[in-house]
Amino acid sequence: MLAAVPAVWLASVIALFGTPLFPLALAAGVLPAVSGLVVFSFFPDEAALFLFGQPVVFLSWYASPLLATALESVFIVAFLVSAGDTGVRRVVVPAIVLVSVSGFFALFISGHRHVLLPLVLLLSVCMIAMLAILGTASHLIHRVAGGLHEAPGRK
Amino acid sequence: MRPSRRTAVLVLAAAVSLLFAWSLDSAPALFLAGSILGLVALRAFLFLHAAGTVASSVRVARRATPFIIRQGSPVTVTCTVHFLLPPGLRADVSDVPPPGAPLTKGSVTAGNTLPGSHDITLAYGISCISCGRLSFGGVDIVLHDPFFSLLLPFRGGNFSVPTLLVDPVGRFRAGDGSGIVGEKDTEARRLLRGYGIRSFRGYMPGDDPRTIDWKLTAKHGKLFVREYAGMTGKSPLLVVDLPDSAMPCPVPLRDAVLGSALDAAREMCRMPRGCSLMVICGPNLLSFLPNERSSARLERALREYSSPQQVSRCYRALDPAVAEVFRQRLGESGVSGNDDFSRKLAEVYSAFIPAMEPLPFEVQCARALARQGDTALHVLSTGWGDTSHLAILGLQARRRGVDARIGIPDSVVSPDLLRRLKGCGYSVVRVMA
Repeated sequence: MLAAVPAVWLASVIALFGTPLFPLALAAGVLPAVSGLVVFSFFPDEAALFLFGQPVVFLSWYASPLLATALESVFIVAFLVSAGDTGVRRVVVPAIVLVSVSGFFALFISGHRHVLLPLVLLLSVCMIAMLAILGTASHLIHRVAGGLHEAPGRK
Repeated sequence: MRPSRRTAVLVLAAAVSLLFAWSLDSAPALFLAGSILGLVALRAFLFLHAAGTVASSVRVARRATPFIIRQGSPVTVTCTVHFLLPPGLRADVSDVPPPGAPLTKGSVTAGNTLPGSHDITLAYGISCISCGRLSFGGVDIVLHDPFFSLLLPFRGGNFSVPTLLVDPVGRFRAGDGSGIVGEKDTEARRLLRGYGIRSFRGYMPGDDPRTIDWKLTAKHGKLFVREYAGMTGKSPLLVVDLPDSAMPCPVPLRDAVLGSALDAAREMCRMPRGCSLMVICGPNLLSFLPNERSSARLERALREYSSPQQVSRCYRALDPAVAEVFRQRLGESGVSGNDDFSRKLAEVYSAFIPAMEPLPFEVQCARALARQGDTALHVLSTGWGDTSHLAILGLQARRRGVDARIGIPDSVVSPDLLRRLKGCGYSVVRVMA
């Protein structure tokens, strides 16, 4: 994660070179990087570094939405690896899924003048995902607590 | 399923970004919010998939020693939990002791972070304060990863075995050498030899060499033998009166009677002729075991009827002999005075006394008491509700010259109850603390 933050910042600065957002990109890289280092030295947390790098991705959207998608994907993979995930199933597969979905979402957003419709769509999908997650968790708990199950060793 | 602090921060950041996107119509802010929420959702699904793998692989083997115990006794439990832990997860395993059994030693929790197959053994001790059949609650496994945690409660089936059988503590003591429970020494020589020494005499050929008193022999220079006192006792008949399950009866009352009955049965079955046991519920005979020497059978008979029902009931049942005495008294008072009511009541008694038939319970009690000549009746009852059946039992014992004693819990004792029970033929009414 510590390596991903300056790398993404450099990419963003290069992409925005010559544009009015270039100074802002420089500041957006330095300030969060310093803050992130200070926070990380006292309380190592990958989530804090991940969030400190988001302004850089935010600004790179104005260079290209696809660049923002790529930089965000780099951040996500670095975050997953820093959080302890290893292997194909826990890093590669989620990264591919997220990159694909993010790319489509970025293209969808960039094709609309206002964010209202994408916002409503995002909220709807989030609600459905939350219900699916809670339902899956509830089913799993009910299964082990004595409901229908296939766990071995139980009568 | 609970989010970790890291997840909460990410969701909060996404919410702030969404608000920013909506208020300022910012597409990149919306994109960032969607990316963060997508990451959290995907990790949640991966976590639940891994938790399902763990749940399918859990097996438990538990052993409790001993599992038939008295209230308050310690039990040593060894529980082995087998499970498969995928990479990236941490598991905390806890065994759930039975309710009313606090932990006295060891720990019921253990943790593991290494991926792979594990067999975690939990060794601890509990003390069973509750009575009855106690089952273990099961096993709890808490799974953690950097984003979420989930409690998996494994209940029922093999996760609850073994079942502990906890008997209430017997609070009643029958007495020391009373002749009801146990034997007592007597001056007369009997077939059974007692423990006390009645006298000393000179040795005669044929005497048991083990009875030679060597101290006296050394003092006087000739052989002396001890003459032991005889041992006499009565064959105990223990009657346990369980409360009707259809009527509300305080649990401590039932536990007091059951605990005392188990205590008495264990002591009485060691007698030379064993112990006869009658389990009744009001005027209903549930079980009768004559001359039983097996403590296990007696205990099983007592525990078998956890919620007995009174099929037959007798409310203020009247014994024919007692009714005849009433009739005679009424007749005398009707003749002596101008008491019209007494005369008419005597006529009513005269009409129904010949038609009175003994209850089946009376017949059963008479047969049980008549089985052996030298019987001592010992009744344990809650004294709850109607006590007609106790009166029937006491009168049957008095008619046969059987020494009858009754024990009731102190919470139901009243002067009226004591007077009635003593009037029914019980020589001793003992209060159970």
